[in-house]
Amino acid sequence: MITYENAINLIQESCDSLHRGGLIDSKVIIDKETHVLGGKSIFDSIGFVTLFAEIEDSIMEKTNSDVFLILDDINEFDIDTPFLSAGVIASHIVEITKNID
Amino acid sequence: MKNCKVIVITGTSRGIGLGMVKYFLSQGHIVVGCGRSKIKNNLENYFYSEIDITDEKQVCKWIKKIQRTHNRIDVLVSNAGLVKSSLLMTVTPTSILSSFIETHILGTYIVCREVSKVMIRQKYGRIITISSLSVPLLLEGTSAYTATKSAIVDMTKVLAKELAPTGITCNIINPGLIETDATNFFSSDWKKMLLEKQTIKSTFEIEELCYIINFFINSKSDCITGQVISMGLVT
Repeated sequence: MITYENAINLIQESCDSLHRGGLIDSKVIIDKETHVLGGKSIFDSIGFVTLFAEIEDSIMEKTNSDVFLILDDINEFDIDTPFLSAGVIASHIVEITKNID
Repeated sequence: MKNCKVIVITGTSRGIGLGMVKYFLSQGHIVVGCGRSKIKNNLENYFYSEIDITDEKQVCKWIKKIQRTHNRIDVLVSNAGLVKSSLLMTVTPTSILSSFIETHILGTYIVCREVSKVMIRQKYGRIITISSLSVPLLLEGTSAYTATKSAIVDMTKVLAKELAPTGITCNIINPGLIETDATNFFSSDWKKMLLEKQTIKSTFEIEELCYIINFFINSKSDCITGQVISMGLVT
């Protein structure tokens, strides 16, 4: 399983990896309030997709399990007012990895 | 091989899909295919998985596995489709419509979406979706089939616009009548009727379809996106 703090770190590492790979322009400092989708998001839609894929890969590396981030599965996500913060994603990561050793 | 590409093709257990697999293997590429049936695969550089493309989780796992095994996906040919007998709309059961919606729209959507995620990170990729001549021809008796194949065309064009900034192109092919084990299903009268409606009134070989795919996946075709090629038809 992954703790909330570890999940925030994992999102930070994923952002750093995208920055190193040239997929996002500037270095991003993540905290639980950081807007990842909607609102004042620092990512455009392509950047957001890339971040999700990067996070999935990181979880896979850490847990050796196939884990998929699907928007429909995130309880706090409302398609009519699309908004996600790093904290919401971190909570979701904790939830979907809680049964993994 | 220097120009070896990783080509993912859906619906490869038989018919046009299987023909495409053999063609691209003969060109020295690595081909990853899928279908609902279990098959015996002895072909070198061909990786087949039994997948239901309408199952989101199965597709996600399959695409991740391809990414892990081959490190990239250069080309997606979204070919999986259903072939069922033609009926006038007034007598087409809802179950037939639902099955076309599931496979053609939902399946194509999920596969294109998941492969796009891989391609975005590569900053490169070619997506080709296989629609049907029934779309420009508006063939009678194919309302459910044509509606869902038409959706594939517009879905691909929207995707082409969304992915244009990332160096990925998306194009569509409407194959003409190609004789395969799948088309044996149709009566000779139906094939004759289709041929009469084509501008070039002959059946085509799978290789001719693959030549069009080769055109789209060529590294010099960067500026070709959101286009439809209808084999043997002036639209």
